[in-house]
Parts: sequence; C-alpha cells; structure tokens
Amino acid sequence: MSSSTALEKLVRILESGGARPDINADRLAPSAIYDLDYRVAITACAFEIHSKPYILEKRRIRTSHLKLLQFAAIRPWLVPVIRQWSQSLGYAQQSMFSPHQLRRGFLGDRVHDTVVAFLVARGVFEQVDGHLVSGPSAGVLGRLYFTAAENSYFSTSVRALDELREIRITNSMLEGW
Amino acid sequence: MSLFEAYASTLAELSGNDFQAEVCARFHAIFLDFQTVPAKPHGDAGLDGFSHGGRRGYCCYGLERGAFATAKQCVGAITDKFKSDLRRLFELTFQGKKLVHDDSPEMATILPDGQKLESIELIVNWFESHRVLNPILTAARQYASASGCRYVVPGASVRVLGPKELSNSYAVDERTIARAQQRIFVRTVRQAAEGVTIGNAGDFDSKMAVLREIRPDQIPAIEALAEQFRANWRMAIAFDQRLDDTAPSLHQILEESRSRILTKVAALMVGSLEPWTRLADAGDIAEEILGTGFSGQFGDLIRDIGSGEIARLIGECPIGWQPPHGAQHV
Repeated sequence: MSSSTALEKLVRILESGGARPDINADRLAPSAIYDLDYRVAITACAFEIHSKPYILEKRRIRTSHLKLLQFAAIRPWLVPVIRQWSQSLGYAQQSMFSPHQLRRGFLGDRVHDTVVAFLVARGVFEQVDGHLVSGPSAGVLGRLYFTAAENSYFSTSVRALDELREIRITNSMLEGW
Repeated sequence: MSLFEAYASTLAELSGNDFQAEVCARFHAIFLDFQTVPAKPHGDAGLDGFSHGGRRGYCCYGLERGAFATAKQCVGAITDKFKSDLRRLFELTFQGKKLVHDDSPEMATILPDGQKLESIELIVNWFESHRVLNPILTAARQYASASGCRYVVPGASVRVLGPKELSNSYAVDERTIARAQQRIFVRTVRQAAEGVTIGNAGDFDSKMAVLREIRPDQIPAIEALAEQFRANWRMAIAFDQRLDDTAPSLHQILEESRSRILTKVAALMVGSLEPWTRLADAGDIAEEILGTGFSGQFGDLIRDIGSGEIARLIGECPIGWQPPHGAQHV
C-alpha cells in the first residue's frame, strides 16, 4: 500500500466510522537537543572530563574539541565513527571506510555555539585564543558533572565521553578532515 | 575543504549502482553526447557508458562499503572486476588458462555500426593503491593481442580513474556535490529506516484498535494501512536522526517544519465541517512545508519524508481520533 493510499484509506474509514478528531498540539514534544539545561549539562560533563589544567587552577579546552566532544556525547553512536576516523588518519587506503558526512556534522552544530555564547556571557567560560577557559562562574560545571555522575544522569553520554578519552583527536579532525 | 575535495570524498562514499549513476550523471553534464548503457534486455556488454561518438568507453565499479577489510582485498576486487569488463569488451573468455573468443552479441546493439572504442576509462570509487594498475594494464595488452578487436582498436588506451581524478578532471560546483551527497543520504536513510524500532507505540496501537472497532469490516485494510504508517514513521525517524548527525542546522529546520505541519493541519481540521477530508490533504501540506527547506537537497525523498512526518504525528498522538459519541472504546 502506498503512503497516499494509506492516508486516503484512513480518511475514508474515519469518515464512514463517524470518528471524532482528537488534536493535541501539546503532544508534539520538541527534541531534547534544543533544551538549554540539557545542553549545558552535557557541555559541563565534556569540559570536566576532557579539559586540561591551565594557569592559576583554571582549566581549558580547545573550542573546536569541546564542540566535537559534546556532539558525540549527545549522539553516542558516532563514537565508533570517530574512532575509525582517528585510526584511518595517515592511512589513505582506509579513507573509504570512514563516512565523511558523519565526520563533519559537528561543524554545523549552531545550537552548541549558542550554548557556549550563553555560558561565556554568564562568566562560566572565557574565550582565549581558540580555547575555552574556566571563568569566574565555572564552579557550576563541576557541580553539574558530579551531580550527573552521582545520580547516573546522562549515563550514556558520560560513557561516550569516557570512551572518547581513549581516541586521539587531531587538529585536522577538528577541522572536519 | 575545496569543492574538488568535497566532491571526491562524496564520490568515495557512494557504492554499487549509486556510484555508477553518479558517474553517469557527471558525464552527462560534461559531454554533450555521453550515452549511458542500460543493462536491459541482456546485459550491457561490459560497457556502462560511451561518448565521443563511441570512441570512448566507460566501465564503473563502486566497491560496497564493508565488503572488504583490507587494501589488498580492495585491489583484488578491483582488478578482477575490470579485467572481466575488459574481456567482455574484447570478446574474450578463459578456457582453462587460455583466452578464447566469446561473442558479445549485445555490443552490436550498443555501439554505432563500425565504431570501435579507442579509449577505455575504468572508474572506481577507491583508488588509493597503484597496485591495481599493473594487473589491469597488462591484462588489457594481453586481451588486445588475443582478441579479434571487433569493438576495440588494438592500441586502445586504458586508464583507471578514482574519485580524486574524476573530481579534478572537470569543474565541480555546489550542485554537483549536492547531487552526489543526496544519493548517499537517501541510501543511508532508507537503509537505516529498516532498522528503526518504534518505541512507545501503545498510543498508535490503541488508535488502530479504535479503527477496528468502528469499522470491523475493514480489518485487513486497517492492518495494511497501519503497517504502511509504521514504515513511514520509521523513515521519518531515520531521516530525523541522519539529519541531526550530519547537518544539525537542517535538523533545526526540520523541527520547525514539523511544528508548522501540525499547526496547519490542525487548523484546517478544527476549522472544517469535514475534518477528515482536511486530513487527506496532510501529505501535500507536509510535502509543501518540507519542500521549502529541503527539496533542493533531498528531492525525491521529500514525498516519503512528508508521509513519514504525518505518520509520526499520528503515531505520537498530536493527531488522533476517538470513537463516535456514544460508542465506548474498550
């Protein structure tokens, strides 16, 4: 049965059966990907797990590195893709085994850019030379991460971030190559 | 990444018939007289296309991703495939270890009368090892010596082209890249849809149960349409996920489109004395709204995705129905 046939058939059955419409627009739930609290929590976990010590007890991470990490944390099925991508670097003969579109998806993540801009505006991060450095209000990141870890919130994403620690991420990968 | 590199990497991701179709589409855009060779009715005689009045022939091979684990295996598969194609063009086959004539009756129905190929291009989606060259080029010389050369001149040139060579040979524009990427996207969405599991289908199932109650004489038809809706729903989920993985900015447009589809369909249904007739227009509404943002990239897929989004709205409950007044749903 084709799609249009199925819909036409449904309409005929509903009409002939005297069914009453039941429209509930509130049931259309937006994806959690666009929820600010969720994105801040994942960003916090990514930063706490992957950032490196910097000056004066601050920590920092490359802006593009955090972008890739949080993207994969929200989509854990991409971790094997990133692993394969990393392993194929320098081995051109393996280039065809790593899908390019999946590699470069994170570059278009504008929602993350907005989240980072929000966190910078709130003093959680400072932008320094292509890096995000913990700012005056960075304590919230640690609290979010430890709360998530203690209560097993976002466990799939946290596990993905832990797996990503074992994968070598190069500068060329951060440019999507 | 330059346009050439982007197109080359996209070509490398295509395989099988998708790769051949993209190569042919590329040549159609470049050569005025490029002619594809359909495999019907009795095979393509080893030729996937020809141009320049039949002087130049093309053979394509898009290795299937995942079929080969090592570069050596890729090399072996490529050389085997192209040597086989060359034998067909030279009308040869092996009897034991000896090359003997093997008529190719279909070739007479393909090339113009009296025309022979003067150059043969072997186009493959993986050309990361030069080790394919010696066996293929050596075989070409052997075949030329052993053949009666009815359709190929004895000194015909043979060369192997990979994605980078094909990309660098002629101009690449955004439209070329988009066309190739669309093939990948469409293929992966259709494949992924087969593996999608719909969670929380309880509400959808109960709505189908209402249909069975109000029209018990239409149960086979209801089962069939329920199955079609589930298939469309899986397609919508696969499209959603793939778009989110590869183009998050487009996924945002999809989310907004979904909301607009529901708003428009709901407004039409609520404001009409024949609400179900308005639901019949939902597929067209979805296609129109999605087409605004996506038809350029996803062309043929938009109709299916539109149906999928309607199925999703029915399945996830924004659009639903109740039994007639006075009837109780058990």
